[in-house]
Amino acid sequence: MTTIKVTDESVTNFLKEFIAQISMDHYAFDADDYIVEASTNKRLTLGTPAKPIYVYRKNPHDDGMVINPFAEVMGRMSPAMVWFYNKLISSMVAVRFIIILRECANIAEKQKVVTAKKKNEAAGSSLPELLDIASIIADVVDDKFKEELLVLANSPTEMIDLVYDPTICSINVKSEMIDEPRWIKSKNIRVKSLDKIKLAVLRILGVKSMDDYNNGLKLAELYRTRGPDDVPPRLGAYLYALKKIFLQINPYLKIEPEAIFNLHEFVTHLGLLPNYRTIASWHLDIVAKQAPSPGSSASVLTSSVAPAKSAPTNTNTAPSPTSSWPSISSSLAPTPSGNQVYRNPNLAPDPQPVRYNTGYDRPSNGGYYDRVGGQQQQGTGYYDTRGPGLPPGIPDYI
Amino acid sequence: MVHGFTNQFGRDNLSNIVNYGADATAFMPTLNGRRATLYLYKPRTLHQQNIRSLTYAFTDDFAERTARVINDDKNTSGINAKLTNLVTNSDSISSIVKPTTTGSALINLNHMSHLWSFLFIVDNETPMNTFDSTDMNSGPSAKLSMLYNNRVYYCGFVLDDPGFPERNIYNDNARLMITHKTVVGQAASFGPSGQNAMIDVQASNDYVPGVLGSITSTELSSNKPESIFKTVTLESDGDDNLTAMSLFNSNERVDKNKQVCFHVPDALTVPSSNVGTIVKAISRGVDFVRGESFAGTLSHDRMAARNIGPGYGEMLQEHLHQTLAIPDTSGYIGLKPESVITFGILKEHYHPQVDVYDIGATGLFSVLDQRQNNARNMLSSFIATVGTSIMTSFGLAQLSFTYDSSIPFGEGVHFHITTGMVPYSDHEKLERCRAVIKRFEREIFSICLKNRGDFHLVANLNVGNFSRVILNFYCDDERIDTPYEVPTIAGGMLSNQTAPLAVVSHNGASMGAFIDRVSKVNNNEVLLEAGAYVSSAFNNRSLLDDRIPEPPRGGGISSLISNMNNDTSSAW
Repeated sequence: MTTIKVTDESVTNFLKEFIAQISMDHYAFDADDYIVEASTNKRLTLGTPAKPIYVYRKNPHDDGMVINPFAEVMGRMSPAMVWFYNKLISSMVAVRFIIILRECANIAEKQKVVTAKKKNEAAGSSLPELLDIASIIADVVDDKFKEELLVLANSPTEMIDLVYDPTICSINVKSEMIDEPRWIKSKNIRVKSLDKIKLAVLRILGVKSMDDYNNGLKLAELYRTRGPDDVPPRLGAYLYALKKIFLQINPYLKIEPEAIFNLHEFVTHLGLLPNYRTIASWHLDIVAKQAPSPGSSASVLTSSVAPAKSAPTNTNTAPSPTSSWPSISSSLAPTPSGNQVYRNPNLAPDPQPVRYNTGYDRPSNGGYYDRVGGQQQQGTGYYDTRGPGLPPGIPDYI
Repeated sequence: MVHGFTNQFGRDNLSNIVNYGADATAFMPTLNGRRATLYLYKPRTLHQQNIRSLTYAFTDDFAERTARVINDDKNTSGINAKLTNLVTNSDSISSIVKPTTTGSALINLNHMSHLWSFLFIVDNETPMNTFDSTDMNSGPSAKLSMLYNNRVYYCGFVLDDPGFPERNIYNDNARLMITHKTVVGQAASFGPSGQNAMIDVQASNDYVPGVLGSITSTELSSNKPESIFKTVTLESDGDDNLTAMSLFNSNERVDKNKQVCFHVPDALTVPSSNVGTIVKAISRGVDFVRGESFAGTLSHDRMAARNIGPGYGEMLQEHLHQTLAIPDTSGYIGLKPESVITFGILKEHYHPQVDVYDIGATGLFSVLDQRQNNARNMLSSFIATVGTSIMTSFGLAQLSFTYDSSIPFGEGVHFHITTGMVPYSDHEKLERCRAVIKRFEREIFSICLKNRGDFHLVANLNVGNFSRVILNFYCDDERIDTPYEVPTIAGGMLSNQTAPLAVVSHNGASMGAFIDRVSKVNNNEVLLEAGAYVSSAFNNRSLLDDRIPEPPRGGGISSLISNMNNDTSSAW
């Protein structure tokens, strides 16, 4: 194991490298440790008023928001930390599934039908896992299928999401796409395609068939993860869940090396998390409640997004918003210049969380309570990638 | 200008700065008989101060453990002891409370450098024997108490020109602003060996003066749990859920038009006592609401709270409002800081002896710039403010010591100067010092260790003068010998229970989430060990680290690697 002397710089470097890795180098850092978009070198800003965000450093900046997951607190999270957990980590895990499906679709399209013989031939190659997935979706791969993947790419966390359950300090992996029967009604996706995509996603995650899944191999249970006691609970749960997930999906990402999450040193850093916490947990960012301004994500949540029950029940035949694949970076939304997310405005809006009014007890259907921006979020837990305080023009999805 | 006080001018304590400020508290007379002494300090240099308020950082696991204690012990027997153990556990307290960094408030205390400051000590005999309706130091409550003798400390600033105290000429109308008050009692104890006198601190409070509002540009308010809880209210949509909102009672704000805005019990400045107040209030509240839920089953029980209408959240909230408030227990004896106090009043009621001290107009050494937000400043401030509160509760007025956290078994501490609030025997003084350090280790040093790691500390804490701290962490490369200075005599002006509104709002959100979680988690026992659950679907894919493949070399990762600096920690 590499011998590492833990200092403030170690923590800073760990966070910088983690963010760069998980975002597939979409984000970089300037000399003052502010997060910048690698392509434009513009600082990422969040909140109202917009503030640049930077990673933990020995001498904090006065004019920015810090990303310091080692100083964890219940209640209101800063926009920077909402972005870190919900936008960055959860979304980028989901985006990798889109990448895998995209590559598998390309393989299936080229081979059209992956026969058993070809599979055997390919077994000696480096991509047997992809061929396996390609064989699942081969029947439905066509131009329409690519458009369907674009629909998924618009809100990838509906396909796969990491949801933190604070009552048990654990991460649950959830998929609205798989678990919610009505999900497809709001999407421009064929039923047969969805069935194949579901199976492909489950196969990537290690579940062999839908029968296995329906008989108890639920993702939430398979990947439920709680961090060690000497690590901040939320951070520990997320990072250890990432370890599990990437152990499983990294082989499928070989075709896109930049998407591979390097677990080799990550595990070393996991062992050092208690040391990092000791060094860095002193810096707790104070988050004052701010009234939602017009155009902010908070107001979008309450006014402009229709509830799920109003979603169209017929197949949406609206044209795809773009004929090209979204770039990897497009899935990381918040930028000073506005929305970079591909989203078809003709598509049905995101369904809203189910509101419970049961008072004392937890939701009986396994829902959860979480807090984002001081507002208690109740419901199935699928939609909590939204956080308050994002700049105007930033949508409330990914 | 009048003459009248007994003057004892002449002690120039210049050398005391070098000795870290031995001063009036070093000459504490025995607590016997009635006497009043006013120690007047000539104007001295005060530096800008940063109020680093206590910030709640309640975590999910602490909420889970608290909920488990409250829910497991439904008969409430022994629950207070369990909660105390939970809160005072160093692992808990070191994680859930910390001073602010970026949310601190800069106080221009240098604007008060021209003011005289004072330490006023009043010794009272048994109130039972001296009860007099005209005597401000006695009253019916005190008469019935177990106090034999008591000593009351006041400290603060003289807001007006005091005259010429050196020449025994005083401005009778000069107002005194009390920022801190401590009552030390000598209680009676009867045993086989006869009657013994036990020294005990009866009350110790900071008073936040309205002047504070005029020397800072930051809007400040009370950061006490009872005040913070007022920011936690019901959701407007009627759900029975507590959530934090920034509805704040203006009465809790620092108002420059008031003489005293609010008082802060010393106990609240100490993390475990502060959090203990909250946790026990929740426990009692949950117990109360739980009981009331049974009462509601009787239709004729018109006194049952549930029949009146409020839901769970409202009932709990109402109960917490009542249990979180802590009254000013020092109010029954001595001067009331809220009233106007002048030299003339002191002369009339106490006829004090006056000692005048000149500690020098300027400091002889530089001090740390408190405007910088870094771990050293933050935790130095924490040690200086919380440390003096703990010392007071143990009856110590001054404690000078060095401490090294890396030396185990308590051998890393060395005492240099100790002074009691009343004279103790050497043995008792040493015992108290050791007790204080043990409490420091639990309340303060554990937070320093958890939030920054091992450290070396040189501290001189003085409840009636200045406290100075030199703190060096082992993880920092540079070593400093410049002290972090806090004028303890400013009392409530620098209390960690005063905070900018942003901090109070933050604390309200954290407290609201904590209360919400603790009161709702009932029988959720789904606890998994980290990474322990591996389904059969993964049995063929080991999670052992040695099976993790080598990192690929290409694309963005290679560029990442190429950007690595020499620090080995950056290698992925």
